[in-house]
Amino acid sequence: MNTIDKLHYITHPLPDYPIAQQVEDVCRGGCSWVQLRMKEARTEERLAEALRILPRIRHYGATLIINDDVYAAKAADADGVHLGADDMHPSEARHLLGAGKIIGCTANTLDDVLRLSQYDIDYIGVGPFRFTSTKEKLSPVLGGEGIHRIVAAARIHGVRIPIIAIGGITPENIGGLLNTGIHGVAVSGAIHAAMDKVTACEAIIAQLTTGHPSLATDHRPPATHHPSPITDHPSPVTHHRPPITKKMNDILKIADKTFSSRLFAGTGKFGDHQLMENALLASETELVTVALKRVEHTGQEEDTLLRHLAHAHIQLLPNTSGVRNATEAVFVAQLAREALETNWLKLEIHPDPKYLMPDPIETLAAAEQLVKLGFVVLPYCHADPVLCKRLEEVGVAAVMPLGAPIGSNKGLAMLDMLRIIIDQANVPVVIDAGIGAPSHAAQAMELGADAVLVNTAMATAGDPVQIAEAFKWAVRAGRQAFLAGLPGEQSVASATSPLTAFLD
Amino acid sequence: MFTSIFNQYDWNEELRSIYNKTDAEVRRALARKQRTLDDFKALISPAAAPYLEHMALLSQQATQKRFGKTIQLYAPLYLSNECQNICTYCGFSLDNQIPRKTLTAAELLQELLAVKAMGYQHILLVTGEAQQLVGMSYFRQMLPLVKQHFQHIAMEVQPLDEADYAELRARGVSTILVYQETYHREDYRKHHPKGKKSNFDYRLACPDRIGRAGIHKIGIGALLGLDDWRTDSFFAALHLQYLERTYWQSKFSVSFPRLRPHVGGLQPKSVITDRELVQLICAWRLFNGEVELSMSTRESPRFRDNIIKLGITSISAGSKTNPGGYAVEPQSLEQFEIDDGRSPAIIAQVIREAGYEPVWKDWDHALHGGEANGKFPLPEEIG
Ligand code: SF4
Repeated sequence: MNTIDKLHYITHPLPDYPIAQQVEDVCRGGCSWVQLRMKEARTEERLAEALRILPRIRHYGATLIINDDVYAAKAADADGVHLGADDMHPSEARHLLGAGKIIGCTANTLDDVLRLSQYDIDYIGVGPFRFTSTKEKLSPVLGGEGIHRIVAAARIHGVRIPIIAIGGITPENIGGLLNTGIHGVAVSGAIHAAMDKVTACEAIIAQLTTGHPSLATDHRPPATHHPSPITDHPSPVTHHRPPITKKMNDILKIADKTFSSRLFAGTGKFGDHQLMENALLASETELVTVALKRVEHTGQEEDTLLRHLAHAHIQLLPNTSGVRNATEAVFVAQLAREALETNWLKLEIHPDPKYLMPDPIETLAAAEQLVKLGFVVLPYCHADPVLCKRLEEVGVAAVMPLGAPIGSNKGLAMLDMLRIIIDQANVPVVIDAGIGAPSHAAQAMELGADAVLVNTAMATAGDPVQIAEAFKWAVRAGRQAFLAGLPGEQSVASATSPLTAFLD
Repeated sequence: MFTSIFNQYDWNEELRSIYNKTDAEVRRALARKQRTLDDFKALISPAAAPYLEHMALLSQQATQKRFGKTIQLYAPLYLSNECQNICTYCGFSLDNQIPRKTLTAAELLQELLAVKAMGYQHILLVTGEAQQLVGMSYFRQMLPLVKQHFQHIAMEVQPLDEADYAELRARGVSTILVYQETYHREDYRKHHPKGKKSNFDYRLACPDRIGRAGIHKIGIGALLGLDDWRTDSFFAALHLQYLERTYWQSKFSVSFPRLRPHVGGLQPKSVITDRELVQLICAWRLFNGEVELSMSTRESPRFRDNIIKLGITSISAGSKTNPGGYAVEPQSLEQFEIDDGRSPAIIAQVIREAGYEPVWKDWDHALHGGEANGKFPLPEEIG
């Protein structure tokens, strides 16, 4: 019995993206199952293309399946064939190809699956999941539910053949599909239409793997093998992150910079620079805020703060902590720009030393001046929706409303206000202050926040490195849940007399 | 500017994504408290059709939560049927041989009094696009008259520049409506072959200019039937979401004009049925709890009587869609055919019988602040 991969890539004839390149890209992205599909071609053309790509397929240790054409598959000595409803009968194909080759068939209905399961075939493609432009002959769209029904019923009928969902599947759908009991998915446009094909492919594999941790993609060539993301001593060199969020291009953009991590961190209160560095690396954060008041201007000593922050993937965000009004803030901002060589600035003005409450009036005034002075301003502010809009209007790059009083670890005490801020913001919203536990961070992300900034909770935890990593996962989980679309609370409503009866 | 967001979207892709929505996506959209644009797509998709009653109920609840049991009443007043544009679907189109008329000040007064006599305090001034005859200088001349008699002035006129909108605001205009007609760039060109209106981008950016001018309320919408109504509605929703976030101090309203028979005789490309129109209205409400949803007299009495309970917040009644139609020249040709010809008094009665309160006045010139009350000088006073 042949082992069937979880991810099948179906080639698609595209004028400016040759099939050989498609194969190269998906194989580099870690996919090791390619179905050569050339609907309108003749057998000779298919054979020629198969022979062209086979050396690379073999190089990557991948599997090549030919769509429709048993003769081409046999002549090229490909690994197998995929048969549509109108193609050769599976028994005849088996007879021609022999026992060692893979045969897959397409099914649209449960009846198809049950009928096909009587033959000696290796997998069944069930679909189409959605409307697809690669299938000229359209069958009724099944959707996740349709596929679920078929798979469940097939299992009840004792069908053991792996089922691959097929037809218009995008990364957005995979999460849901994995719950239907399918073995894997076949995609085409999800990869060839992506800007970055390799990454797109990796993302899908990561999703297939995260969804089913036991289904290891062990057939992947070592060249593309990714280190396990959970390591005790993460080093910046291996900080490759499998993109687990379902949207491939789920990249946060603030001003001119992009971030693949939505966890921002602080540098205060760790008590030990090495510990801080370890925690920041474990968190995989890409934006770290530093109080100018803590930066040593000599820069000569062995163990300065900045040395521990000198990592290519970490962008520094100086902050004005300590200033009490706009004038001081503008002055400190300019010092920070010189000292840290960045025009990014976290603007924070808290005149009150006890609760460190941000001053809305001074903050707005300072933000306006700093934007004019060319700063990329990220103001720390109250969870005040109108204030956030006013800040946006003076040109800040993001707003950073507090979740709860700073250092309180209380989580999203300002939940209702944050919801409104997120709903109406045109700039990224970063929840700052108050996030005391990974669950708070996850909640903020589920709410639709663009990022969270965590400092105290990380710095003062029992084991900052472990907590930093926990925050990393929490932010990703929250983000993924947000993108996936959380289910709402089902409101059971019933009308006394139907409201739409007049339409009948 | 909305244009930069709009250009990131592809019509066909959105169309396909709407028609691909599944039952599960609809149910998820229904179950959520705050709905996204993607949920809106699910709710206007064919997959949502079986959930219409459920949607109606949720829409009713959401509308009552925000607006209470009230329905605003307004009347359109056509100032002129002069138009330099060719629009394939409109009775006033330049290429239609119809008698043209622009109200004089005396005629306008007659009309205003007739509308006022029906009980209205909110009025919607409508024109075609004839910049010379019916441009800013005409509005300057006429608005003081209107302001004397009405507490809320809305305008549905040719797209103007930002400075003009700011001036209109200073002269007492609270609301500007400008419908994109269709968000399908190519089909827009087909339907607007001649005149200033053929500039798609100028029109698309119009709500931005209105917003920047600080106009209190902005109305948008698509003419349902010119193109695929679902996709057009999606783009209108995208537009609304952008406008709400950008001009966060403005209010918004959405209308649902359906393509109707008229002299030119254009047949709709996609017909939206009554059932689908209800679905669309409910989807809007479920997508946005605050936006005003408005319904004209293009719809039938039976439809209008029922829809007031399902999400609509303002309706017109007793409308005439021809300049002078109320008092001066009741027989002249209308822009589109009225389906519901009942008087405002009867409509108000219908609203009351449905358990709602008809609202004739919900604005006051005093709310306009200093500028409209003469505290600050108007341009010509400075000049
Ligand atoms: S729709 Fe407006 S612009 Fe077009 S012809 Fe009619 S009145 Fe003129």
